[in-house]
Amino acid sequence: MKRFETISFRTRRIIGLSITAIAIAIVMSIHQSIEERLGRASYFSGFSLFGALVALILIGIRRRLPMLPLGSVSTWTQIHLYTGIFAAVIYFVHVPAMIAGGVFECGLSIVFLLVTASGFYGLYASRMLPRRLTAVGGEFRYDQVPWHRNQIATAASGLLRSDHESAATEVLRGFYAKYLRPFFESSPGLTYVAVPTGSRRRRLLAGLKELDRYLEEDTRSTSGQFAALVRRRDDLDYHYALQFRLRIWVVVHSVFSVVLFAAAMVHGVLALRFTF
Amino acid sequence: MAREKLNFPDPPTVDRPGDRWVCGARLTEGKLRQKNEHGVCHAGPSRLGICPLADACCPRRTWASRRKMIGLSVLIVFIAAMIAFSGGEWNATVFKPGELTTAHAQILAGTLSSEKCAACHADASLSPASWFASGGNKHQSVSLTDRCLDCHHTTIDRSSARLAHNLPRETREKMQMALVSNRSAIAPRDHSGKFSPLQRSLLDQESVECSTCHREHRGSDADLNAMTDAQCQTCHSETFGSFATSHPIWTDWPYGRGGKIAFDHSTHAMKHFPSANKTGSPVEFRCLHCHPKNERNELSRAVTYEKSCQSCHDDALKLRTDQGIELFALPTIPEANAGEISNWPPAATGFYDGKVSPIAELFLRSEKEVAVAMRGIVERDFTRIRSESAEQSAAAILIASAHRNLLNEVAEKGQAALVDRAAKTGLVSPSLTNIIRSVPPQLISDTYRLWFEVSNKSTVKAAKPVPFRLASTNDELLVGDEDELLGNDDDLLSDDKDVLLGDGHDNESLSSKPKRFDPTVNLKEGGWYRDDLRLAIVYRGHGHADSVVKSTIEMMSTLPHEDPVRARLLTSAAIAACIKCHPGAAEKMGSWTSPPLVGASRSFTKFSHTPHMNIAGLTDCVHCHTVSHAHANFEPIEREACATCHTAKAAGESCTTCHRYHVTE
Repeated sequence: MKRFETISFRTRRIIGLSITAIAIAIVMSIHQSIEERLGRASYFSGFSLFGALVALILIGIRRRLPMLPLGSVSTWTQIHLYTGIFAAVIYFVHVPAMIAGGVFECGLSIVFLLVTASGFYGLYASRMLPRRLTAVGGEFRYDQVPWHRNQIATAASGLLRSDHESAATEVLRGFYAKYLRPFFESSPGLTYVAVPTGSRRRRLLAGLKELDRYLEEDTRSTSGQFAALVRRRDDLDYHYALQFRLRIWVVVHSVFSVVLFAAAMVHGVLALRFTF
Repeated sequence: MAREKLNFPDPPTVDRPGDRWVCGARLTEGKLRQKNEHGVCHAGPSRLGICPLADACCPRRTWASRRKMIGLSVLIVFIAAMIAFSGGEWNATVFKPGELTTAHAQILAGTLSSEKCAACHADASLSPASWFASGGNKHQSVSLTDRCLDCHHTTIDRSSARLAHNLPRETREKMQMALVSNRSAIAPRDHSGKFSPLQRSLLDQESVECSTCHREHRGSDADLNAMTDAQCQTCHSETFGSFATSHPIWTDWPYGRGGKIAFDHSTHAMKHFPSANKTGSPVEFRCLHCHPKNERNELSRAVTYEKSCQSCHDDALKLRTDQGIELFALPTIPEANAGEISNWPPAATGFYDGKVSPIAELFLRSEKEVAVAMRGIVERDFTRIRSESAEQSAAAILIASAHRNLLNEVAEKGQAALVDRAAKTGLVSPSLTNIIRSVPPQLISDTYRLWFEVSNKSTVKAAKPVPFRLASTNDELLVGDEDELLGNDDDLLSDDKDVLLGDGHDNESLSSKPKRFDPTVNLKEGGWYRDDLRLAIVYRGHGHADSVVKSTIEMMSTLPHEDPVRARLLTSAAIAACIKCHPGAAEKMGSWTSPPLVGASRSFTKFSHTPHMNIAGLTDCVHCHTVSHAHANFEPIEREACATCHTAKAAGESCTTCHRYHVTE
C-alpha cells in the first residue's frame, strides 16, 4: 500500500486507467462472444455490473470500519473511482438503450445515470474545490460555520459601541444598520450558495469606501475594521457554499447509490425469474 | 484593516459532529442565549436530542444525522413503492422491462394489466412473496417457448419447435453430410478470422428456446428477427465470411426445388412457340404470360391451365382422358373352368384373356385367398396364364369368381360393399371415397343382372365362347357399331329373339336388338358406363382436372412404391397424361399446383422478385434466367451474378437476407 502511495499522481492515473481499460475490454469481448454464441450475454454484463456496484458500495463500508486493516481510504477512493468508470462503460454494454423502457427500468436507468453523473462531478469537485478553498484562505469546519458567523456578527455589532458620538459615527451607524447588520446577521442566500460570487462583497466594500470622505480618523479606523469583517464573512460564506455543495453532492451520490443498489437487486431477481 | 488582524476566539473543541445531535446554543451562541438561560453546556445534548440543562433548549441534528435520515427516508419510500406496485393493478406496466413489439402488444391490448405478464410468463406473479415460493406442479415444465407455441403452433410444429432449424438430428446430419460430400463445389473460404474456436455455440441444438433468438421487450419497433451472421453460424461446423468469396457455390438453384408442374421451358421457347401453331403463325414466348406480376411486383409461379396451356394441349389431353379408367373388367376363362362358376357369362369364356383392373384388384385384395391367387399371375394378365398349370387355372377360377362376387355384393349392398372392402384392405381415404361416391350402384346392379342372370338365360342355346377377348382397344374395326366382325354376333342374338321373348323375363333387353353404348356420342362430358363388349365398367374422363381421374391419382399416391397396382395405374393413358405435367401428384397427395414460393414455402433459401423488379436492369427476366440449349430448363444462376449487388455495403450479404431459420422437411 505504501508503494502505491509513493508513486506519482500521473503514474497512478495511467496505471488505474490502463487496468480499467483492460477490464472493460475483457468484459466487452466476453459479452460479444456470448452474444454471438446465442448465450445470455446480458446475464454476464448484468452480473459484472452488479459486482461493480458491490465494489463501489464497499467504500462506504470501509469508511464506517476505520479500525479494520482494510487499506487506506485513499486507496479505496482510487478503486472506487476506476470501478465507477468501469461500471459506467459496462452499463452501456448491458442496456439496449441508454434509458430503458418500462417505468421501473426507466427509473433504474435514470438513477444509475444520476449516480454516475454525480460520481463524475465528485471527481471534478474533489480536484477543483479544495484548490479554490485554499486560494481563499482560512479554515472553517462546516459544522462550525454558524459559530464563526456568530462571532463575526458579534464583533461587528460591538465596533460602534466604543466610538464617541459624532456626525461621522451617525453616518457609520446608519450604514451599519442599513447594509452591514443584515449582511452579518443573516445566512447567505440560496443564490449565493448556489453560485458564490464577490459582487456582494465588492458592493459593501465600495459603500464603506464611499463613506471615508465623511468620516474622521477614528471612525475611519472603525470603517476599516468593518471592511475586514466583511471580507472575513465573505470568505466564510464562500467556504460554506463550497462545503455545502460538496456535502449535497455526497448526499445525492450516497443516497441514490443505496436506491440504485436496491433497485438493481430487484431488477436482477425479475430478470432471472422472467427470462424463461 | 487586514482581516488577518482580526482576533477571534478559537472555535469550541468539544463538539461531536459525528453524533446525531449538537447543541444549538453552541453554534449560535448569541442568538439563542435568550431562549437558553443556562447558556452553553459542555456535555451537549443526549443521543435522543434532549438538552440536559433546559427543556426549552433546541438541540440540532448534525449534518451526518440529517444525511442518514434522508437516506433512510428515500430507501423506505423506494421499498414502499416496490411493495405497492408489485401487488397493484399496474404491476405489469411498472415492472415490464420495455415495450413489446407492436404485433405482440396488439394481442395483449385488451388484456388486464395484471394478467399481461401471465400471457407469456408461466410464473407470472409479481408479488414478492411468490419470488421465494414454489410455483407448485401447475406450471411444471411449462416454459416460455410453450407459451409462444400456444399461438404459433399453426406455423411451427410443437414437436419440432425446439429442434435446431425445426429439423430432427438425423435430417440435419444428412444435410451436413451432403454438404461435406459436395465439398468440391464449395469455393475456398474467407473466414476473415471472425470465428475462433472459442465461439462454439452455447446451445443444446435439441432444445433451442424461442427467446434465444427472439428477444422481446426491446421497443415497439424492434426487429425480433434481427440476427448477426456470427449468431447464425454459431452452431455450424462450416462458417462463412464474405458472400462473394466464401459462400458455397450452388449448382441448380433456383431450378432444383421440385416445382409441382413439369414444364420444359427449353422446348417451348425454342421449338413449340416459334413454330406455327393452330393459326399458322408463331407465338412469342413471353415469360410474363405465364408468370404475371401481382400488385406487389411479385411474380406468379404459374397461371391456370385454361390461360396458359389449354389452347394448345386441350384436344390431346381430352383424347387421353377419354380412354378413362376401369373399375373392373371380367376376365375371359376357358369354358371348362367357367363351368365351375355359376352363371359365368358365355361372352367371357374362351382363351385366357383380359387383365384384372388395378382398382378392382384393390377391392379384391380384401379376400385373402384372392389376393394370394392374384400374386400368382404375372401382371394380373390372364393371357400369361399357362393353361397346363393346375395351380394357375385354379387361381384364374378363383379370381373370376371373386369378380362375380364383388359385382354381386355391390349390386346388393351398393356403395357399402366397396367401402367395407376398402376398409378391410386399409385403403380408406378421401380420394378413394370420391371414386366410390361417383360410381352409380344402379349401374352395377343392372350390370350384374345383365351379365350373370339375363345373358345366361338368353344365351342358353346360342351362346358360343368367343375365340378371343376384346381388351381395351381403340381399334374402330373392333369396337364400332359398324363392326363387321361382330355383326354375326348381333345376328345370333336376333335369332334368339323368340326364345327370349318366350321366357318372359326382361322383355326390354331381349325384345330389341342390343345396341352398343357409344361413350363418344352419349357420354361426351364423361362419366361411368358399361362396356358390354369388353364386359367392363369404365369411367370416361372429360379432359383437364377430371375429378375421378384426379381422385384415382391421389389414391395411387398413397400406395407404396412397390405396390404393382401403382405401376399398372401409371401405365393408364389418362393417368399418364396427368402425371406428365403433374409428376409430384404421383408422389404426394394433392401436389397439383405450384403455390407461390414467397411466403409459403419453408425452405432454407428464400427469394422474392419484388425488390429485384424495382431495378431497371433486372425487369427483363432473361437477365438472370437463360433458357438452356443443352437441357430442359435454365442455365444455373451463378453466385457472382448475385454478388454483384449483394455486398455488405450495397444490397446486404447477411445470412438472413436469403436464408430462413424455421424450415420444414
